[in-house]
Amino acid sequence: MLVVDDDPVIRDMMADILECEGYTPETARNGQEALHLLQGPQSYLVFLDLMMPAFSGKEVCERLAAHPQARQRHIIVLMSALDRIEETTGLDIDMLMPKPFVVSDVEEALNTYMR
Amino acid sequence: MSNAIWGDPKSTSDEHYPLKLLKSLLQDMLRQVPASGACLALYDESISQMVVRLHLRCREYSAGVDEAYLEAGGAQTRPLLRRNSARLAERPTPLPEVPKSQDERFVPVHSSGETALFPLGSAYPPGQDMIGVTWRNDQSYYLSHDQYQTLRARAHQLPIDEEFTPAWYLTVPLKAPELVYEEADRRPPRSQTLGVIVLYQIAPHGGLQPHQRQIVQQQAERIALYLQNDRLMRLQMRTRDHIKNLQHIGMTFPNSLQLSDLVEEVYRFVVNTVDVSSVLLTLYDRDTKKLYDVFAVNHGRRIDGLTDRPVIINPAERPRWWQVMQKEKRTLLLSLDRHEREEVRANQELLSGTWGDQTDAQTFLLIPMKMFTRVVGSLSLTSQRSQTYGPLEILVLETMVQVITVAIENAKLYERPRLALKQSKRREEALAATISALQAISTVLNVRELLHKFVESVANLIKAEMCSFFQLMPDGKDLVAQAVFDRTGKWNAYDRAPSSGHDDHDELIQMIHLPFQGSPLEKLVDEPFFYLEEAALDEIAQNCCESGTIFLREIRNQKLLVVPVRRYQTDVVGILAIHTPQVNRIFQPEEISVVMAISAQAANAIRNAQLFEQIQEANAELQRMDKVKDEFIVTASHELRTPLSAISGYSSLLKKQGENGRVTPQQVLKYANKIVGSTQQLKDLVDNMTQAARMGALEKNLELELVPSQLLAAAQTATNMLNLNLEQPITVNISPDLWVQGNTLHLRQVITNLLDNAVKYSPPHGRIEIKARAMRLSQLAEEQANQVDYDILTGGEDPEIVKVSICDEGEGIAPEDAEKIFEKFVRAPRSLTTPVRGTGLGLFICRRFIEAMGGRLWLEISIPGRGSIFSFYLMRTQPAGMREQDDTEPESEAQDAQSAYPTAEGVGR
Repeated sequence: MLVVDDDPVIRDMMADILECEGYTPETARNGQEALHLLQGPQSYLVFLDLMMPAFSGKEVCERLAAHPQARQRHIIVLMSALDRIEETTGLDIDMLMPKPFVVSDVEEALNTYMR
Repeated sequence: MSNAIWGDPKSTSDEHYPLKLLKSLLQDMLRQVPASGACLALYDESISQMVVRLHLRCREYSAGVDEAYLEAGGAQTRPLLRRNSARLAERPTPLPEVPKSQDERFVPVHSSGETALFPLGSAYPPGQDMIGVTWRNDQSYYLSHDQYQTLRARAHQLPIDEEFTPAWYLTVPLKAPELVYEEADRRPPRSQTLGVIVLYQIAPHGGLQPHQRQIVQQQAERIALYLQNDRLMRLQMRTRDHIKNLQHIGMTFPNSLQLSDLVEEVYRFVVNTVDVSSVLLTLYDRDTKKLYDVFAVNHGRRIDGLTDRPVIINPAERPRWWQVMQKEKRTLLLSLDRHEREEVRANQELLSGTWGDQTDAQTFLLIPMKMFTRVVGSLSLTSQRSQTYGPLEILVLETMVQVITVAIENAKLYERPRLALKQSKRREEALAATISALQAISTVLNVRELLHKFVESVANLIKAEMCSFFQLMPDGKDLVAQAVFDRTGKWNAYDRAPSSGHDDHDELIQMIHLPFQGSPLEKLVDEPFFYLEEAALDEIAQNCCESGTIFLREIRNQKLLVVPVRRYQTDVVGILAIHTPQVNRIFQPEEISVVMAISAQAANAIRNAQLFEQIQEANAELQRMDKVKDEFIVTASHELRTPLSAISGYSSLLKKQGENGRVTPQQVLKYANKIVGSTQQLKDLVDNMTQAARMGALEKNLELELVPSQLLAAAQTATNMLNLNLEQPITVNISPDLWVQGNTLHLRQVITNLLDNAVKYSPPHGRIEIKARAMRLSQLAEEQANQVDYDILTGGEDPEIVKVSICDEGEGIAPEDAEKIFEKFVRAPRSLTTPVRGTGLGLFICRRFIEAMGGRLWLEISIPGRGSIFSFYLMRTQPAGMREQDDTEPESEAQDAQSAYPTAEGVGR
């Protein structure tokens, strides 16, 4: 399980929520850090922020799309504001979780992919 | 050899005399005196000689005419003669009443040859032979044959070769009656002698009695009278013809304006009127001051093509003509026979030229074409005959010339309205061109393009070689070239580097400065237009920059037409300089008025274009601001969404855990803290935005309540607030005894903002430090000269201040953005398109707040990739006991936060 967000508040919150659900997520502060992990052997359920400075979620998706073998291992849940939804079209993602979200949104993702 | 000239074979002279009548008169005379023959010589104008036109003789002496009669009735001669003389005495009546039978007693003699006695057709100049002598001396002679032979011998003439020898000869001149030439006062008639009669007696005879000679005299007078009558009749007829011709030409010309028609008619008229071998018609045009040979006939051969392409001559080339026309203004008649060669030489110029060599002519006539006192041309004629142009002919020709002169002048008068029409048409065209130029200028809203169009239009409309526009600078000192149009391309080539584009050209053009203040231009600028002469141009050139001198050098030896370009007739916008390369061309008033009209329009158009450009700039600025605002809304919404997400996430987590009953008090506190922090962040963001919006107008002064505030407390509160969520260590290096005059709330906000920026743009674990130092304002002025309010220093005060600096190791700010970042909504540009967090309002608000607190905020240093230092100063103050209490709350809050996050102190240097 991986949470990718440049904002520590969101990272902390996601970690708190997932911990309550019984998971221990890893975190990444930007796309680059995330991609580094995703290219490893491990499989992740990724909560990916769309808007990050330097290396955005969009870029992560695009880079990953270029490596189908790596992409296959992961499930991508994109966290994005609804007004930015058009930027996500065409991206190879599994689920879109609009910001701001509530715990049940996260639970839905977990129910879908982890049970 | 006889000097007599034989009559022109083609001459129709006989028709000019009433020979039948003369014959009967002469016969009548012969009958009255004892004479056996008589001849009548008449003056021939064309050859100026006396020509024998009639010769009668008694039949018996008339050889070869009627031999039979001579043989048969020879004896009867004398009685008849006697009877005749008797009759004469009895009946002196002048009217001949001749019996038919006697009529044939005297018959015409057709003998000819030099040695015959007065052969028919023989001509005698004055003084030649008996007839010539009689003519010249205007005297009657009574000679014996011997005397006559002596006369002939003296003149080296052959003796008379006849079968008979006359006993005596009587010559009588035929004098014209005086009144005939009374009116013809132009010149005295060369000869008043109309003719000469010679009577002779072949038979031996005692001679004529005086009374008989008187009879002859009377008869001669009678003949002269008849002759004169006839002449007058013919003259009348000729005059009638002339008048008819004149009427014709007079009626033709006012209607026919064709030069070709005119010359045809003139020629026809001249030929009908007088003997002419060559003709030259010259016209003088007052406007062009040139002579035009429009028609010429050289010895009966017309010179073609002159009507369409006349020979053009400067009056200076025909001084003699000019003298005759301008000074003498009268008809010039020259006899050019061999005795007057000097005349030919003196008038050589008139006898040559377009109509060929006329020096062989005998008579030359030059008739000026006069309109009042003006000369509009001339008609020249030559003839191969001498004395051929009589007063009447000259009068007729002069009248004709007058008619055509009037016709030509009329034609010119007609032409004038036509010319006026043409001119008005041309003016209309010029007006249309002007209007289209005006429209072109008015519709252009780009100042540069407009000015180029302006100078080009002006140059085209008045066909100027070069036209430049100089704008008057706002300080009124200099004129700066804005646009140059140069038809020759010389200036362009000179100034324009081969590879340079339009803008470069403009830049070069704009290097041309001309002095205005104190120059002749300033003195003259109130004129609607003026010419700058060489001296004035030199004066300007002396006070000129290099480019200006080069420019002025182009117009050396020329005048410069200058038209000031004014708006609303008052404000001088600039000047239009028009070169006059074509030998100091002077522009016509209408051309200048066109230039002035366009200039006035251009002045307004320039203003309009400038306003338009300003509006466009403002518009572009507005659009930029709009875009910035849009971006701001996007980033602001993102900014807002982060705390909102945190609040929504944590509160939903709290709720869910609460429902499950699995929540621990630590968790509740932690989540609540997160929610409170995020709420604070959200509140600050909203505050920022509303404050920035309220600060919309820069001019609006913020009025803040200023109290002594402890700097350290403010910094710690800010640090703690940020450290709620941050991993970056923030070092606070501030002495607790530093108090500043400020607004606690806004001071904290400024520090929070600056620290937040430092955090945002710094890499993880990048060091962030906030430090403060007390100093004098003058001290700061030494370090940071441009960030000090000198009004305070010059006011004699040097207050103590506290300078606060926030240092980071972030990516830094490019120097060109150093000031921009303090503008509303502007964030430091990023290399990537990804959005940056932050509203872009921070620094704008911070600067406004600090300034409202009497300080300054600036970017002290920034090295891209290494970090930045933002600094501000505020007036230092001492803590006020009562006020201090207000600030205890945030301070204690900060203390709490500090204990919760000990890193702030831990990393401090």
